[in-house]
Amino acid sequence: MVETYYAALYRFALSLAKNPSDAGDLTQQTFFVWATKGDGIRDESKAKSWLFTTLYREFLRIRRRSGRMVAIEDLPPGEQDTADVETDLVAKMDASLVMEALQEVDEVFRAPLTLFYLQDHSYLDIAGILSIPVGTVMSRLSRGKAQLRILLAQKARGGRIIEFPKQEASS
Amino acid sequence: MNHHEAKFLLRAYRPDSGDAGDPVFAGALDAANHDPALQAWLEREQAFDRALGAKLRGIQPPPGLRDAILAGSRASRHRRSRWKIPAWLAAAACIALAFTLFPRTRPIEPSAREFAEFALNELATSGSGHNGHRADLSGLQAHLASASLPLSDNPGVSGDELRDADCRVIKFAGHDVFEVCFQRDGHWYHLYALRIENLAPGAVDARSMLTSRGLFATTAWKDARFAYALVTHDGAEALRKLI
Repeated sequence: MVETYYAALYRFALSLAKNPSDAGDLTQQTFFVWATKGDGIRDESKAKSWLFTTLYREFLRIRRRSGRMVAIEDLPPGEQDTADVETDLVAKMDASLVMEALQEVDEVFRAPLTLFYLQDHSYLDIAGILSIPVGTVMSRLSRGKAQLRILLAQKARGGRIIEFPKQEASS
Repeated sequence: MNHHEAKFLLRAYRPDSGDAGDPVFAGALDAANHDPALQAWLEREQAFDRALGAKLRGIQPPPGLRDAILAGSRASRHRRSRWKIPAWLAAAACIALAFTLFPRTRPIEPSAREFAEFALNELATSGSGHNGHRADLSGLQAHLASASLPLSDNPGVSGDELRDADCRVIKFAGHDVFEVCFQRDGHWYHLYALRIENLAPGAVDARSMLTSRGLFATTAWKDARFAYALVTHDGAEALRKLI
């Protein structure tokens, strides 16, 4: 189980936590909980979802304590189809720069987006892992991709990154 | 279905995946098949998704993470497996072993390290049913939240206080362990207290031992009357602040 999923879980954690140390802790934490609670699950697809769900919940638990949550109602409009990033350009970009761009996407979009790009997760899997409706997954993927394109275009140009306006909510 | 609706759905469609058979995408895929502009957009979108996915999958976890996970999982599984044995079978085995090896019954005497790991596993596996911070413990909680540091020098908790406060009591190797949960500087801590006579004679002061499994961290120490294990779910750094 560790061999199969630890790398994908680490990448998911890295996109959420934004630094390798916290991502490593989150990944370890997930397998620790697995070892104590989850290893009775025999169905591999359920085990995979369980691992990603557990990691995400651990992340949210820590996030709640930091008191920095962005309410979905406060999110800026993200439905833009104008920032067209050439695929060749992405292919030439350094992987760490791509991850950096992904980490700057708003948090509510970032989680489904990362699960989507890890490729093994369908929109139904993502809805289960994040405990959100299917329609919300679709919407967040669509808006998240638009944000990511803008950020990638800025990274590729080496320009200044313009932050999306965020409104902090109380914990 | 118009372009906007089709694009909205197809942004969730994974390239080279099993999504092709999903009826949710059927209408949008059909629209793309009959609309060259939409088809071209879909091809660009999928090429972009493939490139981005390949980049993300190229990011490697730090060296040592895999080994750390495996070591942590083995340790916790080992601890847990002891408690998965049916109680009657474990009791029978203990009695048989005691009669075989010892002319008199001897109590199980765990080490400080075992106690610390027990406390960590107890917290990790207790889930939402965990409730060690009842309202009537507020005095004890307040004391621990403001006690002078390092807490390991003098937690200032007496056995009578623990008993009278009606703390949550759990069993460790057949012995009562009192638990008090308290909050300090924004972190939750869980203090487990075991009467010292139930700890193995000569069990070392374990303050220098700090065990962590992911975000769980634990340490243990003792005074004249109790062995203590302190556990947090907020990482080793949060624990170091108190000991």
